[in-house]
Amino acid sequence: MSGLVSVDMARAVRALVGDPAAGWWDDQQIYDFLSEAQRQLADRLPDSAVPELSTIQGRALSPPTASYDLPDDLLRIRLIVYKGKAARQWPLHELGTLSQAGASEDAPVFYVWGSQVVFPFVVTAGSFYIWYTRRPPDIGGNADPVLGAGHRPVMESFAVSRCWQNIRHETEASWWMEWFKSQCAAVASRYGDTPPDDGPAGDPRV
Amino acid sequence: MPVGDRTLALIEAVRGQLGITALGLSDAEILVALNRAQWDFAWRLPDAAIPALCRTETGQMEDSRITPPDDFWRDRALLIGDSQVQAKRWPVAELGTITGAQPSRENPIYYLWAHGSQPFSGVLRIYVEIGDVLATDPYVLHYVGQPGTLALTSDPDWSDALAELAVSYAATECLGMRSQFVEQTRLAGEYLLHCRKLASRFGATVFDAVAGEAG
Repeated sequence: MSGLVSVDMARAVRALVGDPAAGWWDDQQIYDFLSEAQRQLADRLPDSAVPELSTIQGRALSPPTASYDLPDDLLRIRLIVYKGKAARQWPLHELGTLSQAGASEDAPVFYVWGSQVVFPFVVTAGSFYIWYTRRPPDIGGNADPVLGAGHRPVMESFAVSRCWQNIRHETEASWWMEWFKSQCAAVASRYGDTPPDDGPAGDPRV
Repeated sequence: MPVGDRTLALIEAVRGQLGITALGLSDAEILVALNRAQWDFAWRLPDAAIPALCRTETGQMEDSRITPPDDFWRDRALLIGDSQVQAKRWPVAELGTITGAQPSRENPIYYLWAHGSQPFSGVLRIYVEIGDVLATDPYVLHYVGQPGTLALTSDPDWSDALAELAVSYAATECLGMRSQFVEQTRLAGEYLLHCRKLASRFGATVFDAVAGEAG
């Protein structure tokens, strides 16, 4: 049932902050802190550590339009496949060299500008797909976190820090934030280029 | 030993570390910390140090896809076909180069992705490239599984060799529940050092390494 995990996490946060009777923070505050925590993990961790956030959106091409809106929940583009071909992302600081790049539907290139993806060549009918990491939705009493079970304790640590900060207990808030960072580092280390923990789960360069 | 007794022993060990009054913490509060402990050391330790979480799943691909088991946490090795050729994991951002790598049954490639029906099904799947999108070849997936939830009616699925680590972590966070931050900081340092020492006993590159003398 949706929300059971969230309720358990909120209960854990209350236990960790010493407020099991819910005297200091209401449920919505804690869910807000947990939602922020999930967004923090999406920002801090390698994409390979948050595969639950991966998604694809397909779009029809409307010639001669070259610019198309990005998905509303886009966090990071991973890949764009234009008519079955992986498109190369062109660096914005090198836009001046695009004309020499020979971009075409056979060798597609794209860049992102103004919340749109731009294909700088003659576009014909067809479709393209954006593979991307999406922004995680909010956590609530009826909405469980999207990230997997292994990330929940890390999110709880962040929420505990926010609880303490909310009532200006800076020492406690700082301790838990450092604990959260330490846990984030441990998670990220499993996906990095170097294998300090013997656990590269792959995708290290993404 | 009856089911749950190992968990009870862990709870008592946490109380033992915290002193006679044990800060007035309930079993439920200590269980919160113990459940967090098993995830924390499972992130920090080499997989070789948590062999009980290293699991294997066999099956047949469906249209060149694999749906990981419910307790799947992290992939470690994927073997494809009757001859069990190890597949290479491919960065998602470089999927456009897979064709150039000439994937085949002799050179299988895989990646993880969670897309499905929109808006967000979030179902994680393993996509295998062997040059046949309808492939139903057998596979062997070596993976790290999720630790089960600790409760008064369930025991940890990791060995007692990790009990001190779990107790140390739990005691750290129990101290935080009662705002004992000086002691919490000291115990946290001990816990992290213990993790590092334990990790140093295992190889850095081979996940099934035997414990060495590096420490």
